[in-house]
Amino acid sequence: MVRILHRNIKKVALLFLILMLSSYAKAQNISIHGTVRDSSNNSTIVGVNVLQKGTQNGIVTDNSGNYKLEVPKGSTIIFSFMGYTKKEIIAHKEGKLDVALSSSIKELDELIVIGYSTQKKTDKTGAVSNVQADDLNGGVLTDAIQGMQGKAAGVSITKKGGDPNSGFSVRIRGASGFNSNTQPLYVIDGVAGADPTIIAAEDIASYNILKDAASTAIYGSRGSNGVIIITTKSGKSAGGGKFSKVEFSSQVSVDKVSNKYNVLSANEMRGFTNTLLKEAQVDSPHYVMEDVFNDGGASTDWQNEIFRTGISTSTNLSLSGGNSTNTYYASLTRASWGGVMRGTSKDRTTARINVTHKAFKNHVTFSGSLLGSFEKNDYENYSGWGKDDIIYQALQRNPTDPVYNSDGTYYKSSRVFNYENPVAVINEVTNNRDNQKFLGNFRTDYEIIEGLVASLNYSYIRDDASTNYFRPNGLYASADNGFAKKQSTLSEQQILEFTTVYNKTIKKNHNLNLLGGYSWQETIYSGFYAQGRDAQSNYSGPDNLAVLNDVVYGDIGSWKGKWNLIGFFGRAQYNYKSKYYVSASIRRDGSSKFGENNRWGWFPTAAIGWTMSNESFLKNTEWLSILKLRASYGISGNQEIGEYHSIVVWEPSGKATNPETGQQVITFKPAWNANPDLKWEQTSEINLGIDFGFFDNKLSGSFELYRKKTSDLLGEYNVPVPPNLAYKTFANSGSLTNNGIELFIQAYAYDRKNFKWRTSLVFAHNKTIITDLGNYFNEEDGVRKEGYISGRGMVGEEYYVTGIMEGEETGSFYVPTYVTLKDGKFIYESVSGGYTDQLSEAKRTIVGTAAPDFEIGWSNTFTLYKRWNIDFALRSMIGNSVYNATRMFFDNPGNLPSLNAYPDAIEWREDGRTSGSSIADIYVEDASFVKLDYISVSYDFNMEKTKVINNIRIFISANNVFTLTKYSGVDPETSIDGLAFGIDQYNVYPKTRSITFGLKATF
Amino acid sequence: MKNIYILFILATIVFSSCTKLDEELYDKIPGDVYPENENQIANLSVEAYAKLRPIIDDEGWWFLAQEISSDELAAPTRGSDWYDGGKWVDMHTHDWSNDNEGVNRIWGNLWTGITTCNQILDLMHGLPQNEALVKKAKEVEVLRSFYYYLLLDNYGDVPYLTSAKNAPDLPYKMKKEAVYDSLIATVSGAIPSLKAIDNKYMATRYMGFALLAKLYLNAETYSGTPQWKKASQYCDSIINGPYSLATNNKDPFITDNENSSEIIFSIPFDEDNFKGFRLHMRTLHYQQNLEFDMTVGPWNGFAVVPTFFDTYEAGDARKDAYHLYGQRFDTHGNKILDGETHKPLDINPHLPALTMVAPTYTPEQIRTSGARVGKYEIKKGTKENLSNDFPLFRITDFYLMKAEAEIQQGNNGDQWVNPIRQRAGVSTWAGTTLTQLLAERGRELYCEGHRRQDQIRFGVWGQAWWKKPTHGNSKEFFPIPKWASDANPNLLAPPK
Repeated sequence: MVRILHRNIKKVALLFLILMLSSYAKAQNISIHGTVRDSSNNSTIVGVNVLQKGTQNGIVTDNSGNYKLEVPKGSTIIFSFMGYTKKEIIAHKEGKLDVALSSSIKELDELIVIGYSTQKKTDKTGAVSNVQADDLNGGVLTDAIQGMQGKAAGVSITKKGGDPNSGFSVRIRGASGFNSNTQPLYVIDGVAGADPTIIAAEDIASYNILKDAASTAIYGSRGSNGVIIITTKSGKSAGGGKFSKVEFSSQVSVDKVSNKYNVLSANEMRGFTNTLLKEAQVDSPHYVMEDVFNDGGASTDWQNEIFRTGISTSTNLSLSGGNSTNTYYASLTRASWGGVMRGTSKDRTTARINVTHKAFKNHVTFSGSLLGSFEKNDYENYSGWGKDDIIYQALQRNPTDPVYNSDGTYYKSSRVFNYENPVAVINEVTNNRDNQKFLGNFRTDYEIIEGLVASLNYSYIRDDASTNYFRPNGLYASADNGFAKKQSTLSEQQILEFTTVYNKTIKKNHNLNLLGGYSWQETIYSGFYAQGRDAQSNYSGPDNLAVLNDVVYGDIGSWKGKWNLIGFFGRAQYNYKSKYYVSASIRRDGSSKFGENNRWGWFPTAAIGWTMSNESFLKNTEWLSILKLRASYGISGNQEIGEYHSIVVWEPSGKATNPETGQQVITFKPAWNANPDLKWEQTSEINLGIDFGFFDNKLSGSFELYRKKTSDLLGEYNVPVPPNLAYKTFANSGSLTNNGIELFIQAYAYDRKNFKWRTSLVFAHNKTIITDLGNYFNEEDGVRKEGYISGRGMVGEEYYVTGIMEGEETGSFYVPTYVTLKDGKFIYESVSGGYTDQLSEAKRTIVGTAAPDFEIGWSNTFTLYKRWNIDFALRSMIGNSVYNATRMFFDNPGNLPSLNAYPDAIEWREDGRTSGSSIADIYVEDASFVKLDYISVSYDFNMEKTKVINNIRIFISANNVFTLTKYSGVDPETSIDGLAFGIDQYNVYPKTRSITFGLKATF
Repeated sequence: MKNIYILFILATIVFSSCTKLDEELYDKIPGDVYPENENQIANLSVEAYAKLRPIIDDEGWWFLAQEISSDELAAPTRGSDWYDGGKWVDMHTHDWSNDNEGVNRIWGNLWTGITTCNQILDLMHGLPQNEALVKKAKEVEVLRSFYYYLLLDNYGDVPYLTSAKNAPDLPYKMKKEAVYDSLIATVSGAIPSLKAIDNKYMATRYMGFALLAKLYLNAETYSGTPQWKKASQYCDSIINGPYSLATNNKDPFITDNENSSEIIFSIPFDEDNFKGFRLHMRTLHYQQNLEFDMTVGPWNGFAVVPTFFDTYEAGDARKDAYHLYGQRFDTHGNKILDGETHKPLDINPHLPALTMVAPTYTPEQIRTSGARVGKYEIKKGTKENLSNDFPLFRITDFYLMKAEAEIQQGNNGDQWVNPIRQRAGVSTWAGTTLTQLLAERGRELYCEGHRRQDQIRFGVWGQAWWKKPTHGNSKEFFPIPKWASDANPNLLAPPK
């Protein structure tokens, strides 16, 4: 490896090449040389393959786009480079031969990656989206996948808030389960089940998204949520020549809170308490201020105390290259994110090496890759209304309370239960994580005969994490003896896959592609924790648990589990003259998670396609480049639940005294109600598609229409008690459908020398409807209650906002209708037809859903005067609602004056409201939005004169520039995940507006 | 090239060994392995006792519901604290629905106890039988009967299942009379197998007697026919047993009360290893941790109903022994200050309202009114859970039950009431009436989970008391929780 790298150091390589070339010089040959340029902007192109046709004689252009080659007079020279139209020129005479390549916009000729193989884009029969690296959004991205927001139709990439430590929720074509995981399967360079955060954004070459079941079912059990195939950048070997490239990029971004919560200031609070006192003095004239309110004596904006300006940086260095038998790519990325909430940050180092080597007369290709990602996180909690939940504590905290006492200690007050100083929590609580991810992959491809390739692939994936938590004694205003915990977890996954692909063209017109394979996967996970209270020293924090004075039964624990999955699969794809396409596949998968008799499942698919534009009657239609009709059907599965739920198992229940012996013993209980009938969740899907291209593909796109049905939904369902011990059992019950359309249009709208505009639009509409709640569902009113709100004063079965009902959408807000205020109470329409002030008697109706009707992404790239690039990307969701539980809590006048509130609370009080926080339709808000996700301006410096640097690009970009929405909370965007989502419950980390400055240099 | 062939041959070998799906367990015990050894067999029944743990606090709600629905305790709304969706207020005013947290959890947790007993019995019946095991099984049956007794007392008609594996999928209810008969038969039948020893954590023969006494005492509620004579007989079995009245009112409730001469059957709570008794957290004021050097901050909730507090006459030792009120002091003798008003914490036992919000009530009223429960000792350095055992049956109760059963039969009950009154430092009675007896039961047995049952048995459940309106006697039983009847509609069918 080291030797290979050494050999490819640019200048040595150049020298070597020149020497080699001169030794080849022969009398009948002519020597040609020249520069290859981009026809549109005249910039030189590095790495262009220059090959004498029909031979191995070739070279690639150097850093200045120059080449030099000796060829027989009159031979044909092929100039090719990815993304450009290939050019063939006959070398008639010796000397200079400059070439201009025009960038190809016939992207339909590109290869797309499908399960276990590749395919020409024009040959696809399923719903597959392809997004190239150039089209992704930039900036210091939290995770690489963020760059793909709004780029592919039917792929929702969402995130509630802007916490750098929380990931994105990715959902393809709607939800497909009740309780099971709805995230797609990621396949990184052929490794299925890898974690996408192991790849730095800079290393990604393309995304291919398999959307319909016919495409995903080759991954069988794990395909029902869609598959995202990530292809990473790799080294190049260029037609027998050598090539090397070094890239360096660095960027820094400044993040600011884009939207704060609207709670009262200290002055507003004092204004209110003065009113309160006057009111009270009507009945009790002797009252003074402290009879109604205890002023803390300060003016504090608690949000300013917990938020800050965050600085994030990312630096990437990569080295790549290759020759006729070897290629390599190595990269290192260091990035750090300083969250806008004090105390939150993330540090990530990602390293990657891959090499390929061809041996045995190029019949065998060995490839290996190592990927590592090392991440450190600093956390603050903000998910609920607990003592250490920063956002809630800061919002509720009285603005008259100071942060510190005059002696510099934290100001503490116990105005109510769970009332703590968030600054003290941020500063004094340790809450962090150290995570190491590793992926090693080795692959051998053996071309047995022409077109027949057998491949063996082995991957080892490991994910280790350790977390630390330490809260010193006496931090809280209420007595507390602290808490410390260390936990480590590990998960290892082994995948062994054997595939054979056979490609054959028979009699020129019959194109056949066959695939057969076997896949074995095993996951073992384990973990350990130890915790305790009453630390006798704060100095060592969580690092020496021996300081803990209070450690009892249950403070030490560990776990371990395993599951495996075996699959056999086959696929046949055939087309006649690239006109008529037929393909079918089948996979048989077995999962250890299911009952003895239900472990194996069949996942078949079939698809057809017709490229009308290749028919003689359309072939000569000038304006039509491509027109293709597609139809597919397939069944995929889902097994994403915990293990062992089909069998009876016992686990420790706790410590108890045997009354007879007086000894303390550990007792055992059944871990769950065993369900031996547990089986696969199945998704069947029909997909109809049209691919089109007009005017030499200057305008192209595709349209998809699908209908997806998921049945035997895996979930935890209520069961009768008695006779069951546990209230819920994992089982298969019910079904749901996803129906939708997707449109993708791309246009080279303007293509002149000094002004180019490329634009693409994605549009998706999806509706998830519950068609059947199933045998296990038997609530008398037909509503499965989800989305419980948790907060001060909000306890009970009625505090749910999401109703899952047959015939309705997932994420539907099912809430009572607020009519008016009477005697201070919320009056609702009642079940019996009249009015009621009781939540339990209120009639509920569906008021909006958290799922959007439409998702739109619009991306644009402008090139001005060849060197200026301007990108911007807008993204929009239309028709989605958010239940604003933050407002529901903070508009409660009952909070005042001890707790802070929204100005609405004062208005409500003037109206005489005495009702506490209560569920109502008035808190369901339209959260449709249009966001300018990304805007970037870059400039490429002219480096032709320098020998060393090939290209320098500097850029300035902004993420989350603005959001147009009617939503009153801090962020209308919500993680679309699970059954109940779109609930803003003082757990939204503010979205940030980031400005990034960056530089990218290629050597 | 050869190497490649070898590689693929190797691969084939690997595959053939990789077509099996094995479900290997690491951190749990497979059903066909448990119980693994003699030790686990000997401790099988302990899990059934351990299921008593949740019934006192809000995991199981039994104790909370008995107290908050009665005239003893209130959980007032204090500003934005303790509203909790109205569950406490509804429990106090008897407006619970079939979705009330208490109604839900009592059912769930008592059934957890019953089903656990049945699973253990199923396991025991599958093991090689011997005398000790057969007797142990009888003990578990009596313990199951205790869970059923609480279930019957709270819900009336309920399913009656005696095996987990042979239970119907969707059981029907059984008439409460029939449940009552089954319990009497099961416990009476088991008595000879039970050990006649004083063991407070075990279903001993005395625990069996006590259970029978309770069932007979409330026979009219359960079966329509009073059984005063039998109740009286079984009270005798306790009174003549190895238990005696403590000289001090506080003794049965101290932290180390496991050797109390009064206790017949109790839950052996421990602050570290058997958690579930948090009455002090619920009742103490926020800053009262200073009074006991507690390591956690209490929640400023439960308070004694003022009209109940007033039934303690001056000089009644129990008034100060069982309640915390007036100015509170820290362990150094300094006045404790309230954490918001910064004024001395002086607890006024007269709770002004069930719902207290600003500005109708001052911060001081909201935060500091209502006497707090001080019956169970809160030792210095108490954590979030108490280590005091919770007495389910104690002998004082059986003295008062004996008196009641005798008065009900037209006899005089003074000899069993007066020792209790004397111990409290109040005057003795001649010709104790039932009304007096109910009040005395309240003062003596307050906060032990008896009040709801007593008020029902004495026929005063529908009457009004502090902030609780009058209603008919229709609320003697809680409804079957909605979650339970949704999953099993047969629970709504007439009992079979």
